[in-house]
Amino acid sequence: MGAEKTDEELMLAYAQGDVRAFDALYQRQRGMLYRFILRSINDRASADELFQETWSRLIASRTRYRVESKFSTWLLQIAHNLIVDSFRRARPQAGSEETETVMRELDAPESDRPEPVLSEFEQRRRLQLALEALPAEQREAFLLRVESGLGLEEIAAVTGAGHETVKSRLRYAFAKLREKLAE
Amino acid sequence: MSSNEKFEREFADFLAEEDSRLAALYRKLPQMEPDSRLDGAVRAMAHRALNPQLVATPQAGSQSRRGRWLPALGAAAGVVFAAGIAFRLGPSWHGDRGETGAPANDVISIRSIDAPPPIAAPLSPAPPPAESVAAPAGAASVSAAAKLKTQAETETAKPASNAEALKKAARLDEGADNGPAAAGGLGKAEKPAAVATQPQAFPAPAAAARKRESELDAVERKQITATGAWQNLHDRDTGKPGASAAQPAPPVSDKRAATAAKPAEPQRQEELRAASPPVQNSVEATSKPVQASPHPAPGAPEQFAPPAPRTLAPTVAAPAKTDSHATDDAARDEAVGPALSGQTAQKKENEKIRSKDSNASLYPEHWLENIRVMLRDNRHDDAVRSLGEFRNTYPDYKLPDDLRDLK
Repeated sequence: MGAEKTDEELMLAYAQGDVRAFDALYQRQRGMLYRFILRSINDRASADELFQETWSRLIASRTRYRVESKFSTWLLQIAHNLIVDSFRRARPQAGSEETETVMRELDAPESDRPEPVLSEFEQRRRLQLALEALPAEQREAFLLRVESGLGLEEIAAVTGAGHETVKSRLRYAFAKLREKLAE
Repeated sequence: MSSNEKFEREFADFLAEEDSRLAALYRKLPQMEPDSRLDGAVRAMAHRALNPQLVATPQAGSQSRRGRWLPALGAAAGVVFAAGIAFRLGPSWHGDRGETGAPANDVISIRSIDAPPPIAAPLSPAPPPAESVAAPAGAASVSAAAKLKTQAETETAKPASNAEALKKAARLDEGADNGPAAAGGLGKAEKPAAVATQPQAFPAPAAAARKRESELDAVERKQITATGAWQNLHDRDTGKPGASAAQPAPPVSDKRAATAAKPAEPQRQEELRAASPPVQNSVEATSKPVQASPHPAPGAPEQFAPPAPRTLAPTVAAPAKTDSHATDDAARDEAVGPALSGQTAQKKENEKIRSKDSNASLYPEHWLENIRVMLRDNRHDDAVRSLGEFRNTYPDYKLPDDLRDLK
C-alpha cells in the first residue's frame, strides 16, 4: 500500500492518522535527509539532532501540509532552515572569499605531488574534504542537486534563493570540486 | 576544446541530471544513515503525535513502576543488611554478657564436681578414710567415668544428646557400683552422687523431702520451680530412678551444711589451683559459657547443677579441711548410721560442698535475697559467711546498701 503511493499521498495519509503511512514515508526519505544534513554541517551529533528536529517539525505541521510541491522539497526546506539556524548559532565562520583564499594558499602545486594519479579512494576523500571546504550555500546547493536530485527551481524553493543565484552557487561549487579533484 | 568549453559542457551535464563524473564520484561516498535509536525516536514521536496515551504511557509507566519498586527494594536490602549484622554480632553479644559477669540470666557455667575428689587425693595430707577404700586399679575407670559424665554435662546446649550422655554416664556409674569387676575395680567413694549408696546414708526419702521443703525459702523454691529443678529434686527424694541417677547435686541442699562449711584458706587455694590436673582444665575450658534454655525440658538435671564459682574448686579439693567442720547433717548421719563407711563420708563431704554451693548456683539477686532471709531468721553468722562467698564469687558486684556494711 505504502509503496504504491507517492510521498505526498503518504504524508496526507499520515496527517489523517495512518501511522503506517508515516513509517513508509520515513523509510523512503531517511537516508537522503540524513546525508544531506550530515554533509551540510559535518558533525554527527548535530546532524542527529537536526535530523530528529526536522521530522519533529514535519510531524507537528502534518495537518497544515498541502500538496503544492514535492514532499522532499518540503522536507528539505525544513532541514535547510534548521541548518541555517545552526550556522547562525555557531561561531562566525570565514566567508566564502576568505575560505577560497586560504584554500588556495594551502594547496600545493601539482608538480610537488608525489602521486599525480590518485586512487579512487583518495578521490573520494578529496571530494569529501572539498565538500566540507565549500561555503555553506554552495555546498547546500550542490547537495540538494546531487544528493536529493532537485532541479534549479526546487533548490530555489528550498533555499529561498533566486533561480540564478542557485545556478551561480552550483557553478562555483562545481568548479571548486572539479579543481580539487583534478589537482 | 578549451577548458572553459569543457567546463561549461560538464556543468550543463551536471545540471541536466546526466551522469557526470562528479555526481558518480559523489555516489561512491559512504552512504551514511541514521542509526536505529534515531529511527526509533522519530517513529515513536510520530506515533505519539497521533495517540499520545499509547506511546507515552509505556515509558512513563516503566519509570513509575521502577520508582515504586525502588523503595521496596531498598527496604528489603536494609532488612537483609541488618539481619546479617545481627547474625554476625549475635555470638559476640552472648560472649560479652558471659564474660562481664553480668546477671547472666540464661547462661549457666557448668563445671564437673565429680572430678575433684580423685584430683585432690594425692594433695591431701590426711586423706579421709573413704579414699583408702578406693581401689588404685580403678582410678583409670573412675577418671573415664568422670570424663564421660563431665562430657555429657558440658553438652547442655544439646538437650537430646545430653540426656543420652547422662544416661550413659549413669549406667557407667551404676555398673561401677554394682560390679567392681565389670568396672575395673571402681571405688565407690569416688562417686559422691552414686545412687546405690544414697539410701544407706540418708533417712527415708519422704522424710527427706519434707525436711527439704520446710527448709527451702520462698525465693529458692520459686527459682527451682521455675526451672523445673524442684520436680527433679522431688523425684530423687521419692526414689524415682533416672532422676536421681543423673542428678549430680541438688540446687538447694542442706543449709546447715552450708553454714557449717568455712571458706578455704587462700594459700591452700593457690596450692590446689596450681596442682589442678589438665582434665579439670579442659572441662572448664570447654564448658565455660553454656547456654541454658529458658524452659528446660524435664529430665535434664545437669542444667540445675551449681555453676561452681571460682572458690568452689579449692574447697572441693580440700576434703581434710571441710572434714574438720562437722555439720549438723553429718552429726545426724553419724547418729543414724554408726557404721557409716568411708563412702558415705565422702558423700557427706560432697553434700557439704553442694550445700555450700547452693547459694552460688543462684543468681546474684536471689543469693542476696537469701542473705536477707538469713538475717531475718537471726542467722547472722550464716549471712556474713554467705556474703563473704558472694563477694568472692562476684567481686565486681555492687552490693545493696543494706548488705554493704554487713560484718
